[in-house]
Amino acid sequence: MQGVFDHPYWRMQARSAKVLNQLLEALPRAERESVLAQCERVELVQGHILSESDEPIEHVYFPLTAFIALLARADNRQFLELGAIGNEGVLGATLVLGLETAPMRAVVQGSGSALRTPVAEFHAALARSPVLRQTLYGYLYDLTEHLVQIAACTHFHEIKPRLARWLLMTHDRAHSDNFHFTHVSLAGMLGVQRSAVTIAAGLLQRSKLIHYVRGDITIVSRAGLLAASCSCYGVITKK
Amino acid sequence: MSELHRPQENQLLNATSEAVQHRLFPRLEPVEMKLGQVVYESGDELRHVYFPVSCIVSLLYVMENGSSAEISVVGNEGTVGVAIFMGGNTTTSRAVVQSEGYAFRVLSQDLKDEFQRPDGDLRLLMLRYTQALITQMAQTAVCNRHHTIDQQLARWILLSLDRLQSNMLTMTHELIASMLGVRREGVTDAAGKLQRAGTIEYHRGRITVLDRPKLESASCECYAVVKRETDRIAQLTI
Repeated sequence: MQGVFDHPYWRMQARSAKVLNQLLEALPRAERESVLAQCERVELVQGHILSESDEPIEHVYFPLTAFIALLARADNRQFLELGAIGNEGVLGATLVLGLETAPMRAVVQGSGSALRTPVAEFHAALARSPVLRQTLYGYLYDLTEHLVQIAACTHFHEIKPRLARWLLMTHDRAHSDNFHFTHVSLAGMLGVQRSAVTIAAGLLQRSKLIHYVRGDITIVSRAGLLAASCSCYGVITKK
Repeated sequence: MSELHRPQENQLLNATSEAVQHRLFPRLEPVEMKLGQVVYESGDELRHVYFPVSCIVSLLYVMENGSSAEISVVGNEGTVGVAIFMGGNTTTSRAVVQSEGYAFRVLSQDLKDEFQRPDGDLRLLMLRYTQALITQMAQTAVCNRHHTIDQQLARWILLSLDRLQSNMLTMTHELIASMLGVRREGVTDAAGKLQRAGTIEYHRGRITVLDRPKLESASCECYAVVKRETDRIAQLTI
């Protein structure tokens, strides 16, 4: 068993780092250990593309402190963020559907650590474990419901409540009150013009809900953001 | 007229093995699907899973104030109720009949039982279809955000017609507007342009495609993305 407890995941726990992957934590111990035995710990860097839509998935990622955005593509320039994956989840859950390709682009949204396992090993784990499959069906169901809610939010809501919703979702996954996003990258994820983000962020800043200078965002009042957000945040978090 | 329809007209059911068909088909119930009928409402418990044969069902997201827009469309290539085997008993979207016809339905529990069987190939087929559905949902969301109503209308007509294997669709501007989540005037303008270009004919709520290649080039690439994924999954063998 020494091998298992030598694993970086456990070493990290031993260092009393509090951030664990909740999806792995929720698995029965035997299942968790068998997945962990295949994992290596990696550092992910913001902006790095982990998988591309319609192209084969190479690794499955369980974020720890890193977090990942799922983007749908309108064309070479225009995207829309339709999902966020932090330490509550996993990137690559669609492998449980039996296909090798990713449905959306996945890009690192916040630098940090993650555990990853090669696809072949993960397939073997899926084949062995009905519990793991069931967990991934459930997670995928939630992710799909989030996608639908974000699509609706994008379609019908104003940019300011949408930005507040996005900041809350990001805050949940960032394990920090500070994160870095330029207006351009924020506009890309929200599918709006940069000027719209500038105006909406300005409004949130003047209300003292965030502090935003040169791409550095600080959450000043989470309660205020909750009030400024549309109900979509509540709907998504409940799931 | 359900006796005219067979479960095999649904592509998912058709692709299942004889053993599955032997177990599942006696439990299927043919149902008439009327235009505008709500198959299930957001938050409803999903009692049945539907397999369309000659109808189209739209999945819509519905906001608190009642506004709605389509997130995907399901015809005889798919099934309505994938949430059931993914562990959810309800769904936040509303399912509405967009083009009337027939479907077969099965009690959710019967489908779950079949899905759990280690030797059943229905699971494989439904899982793959789920990926195509996720692709369609994501593409529709980004299309609604970034593309013009003209492009969206072309995409929407093409996806609908593919599911009817027809070149004619009966649909009012109002219904299309509620599917695309835009004002009716926007649809009227867009349809007028397609009509003047000789791409479609739109008369008394009946859309006939006159020039399909032209309609495809009027659409954004979203149509091709969804079609490619749907076709790819249909062609995979078990």
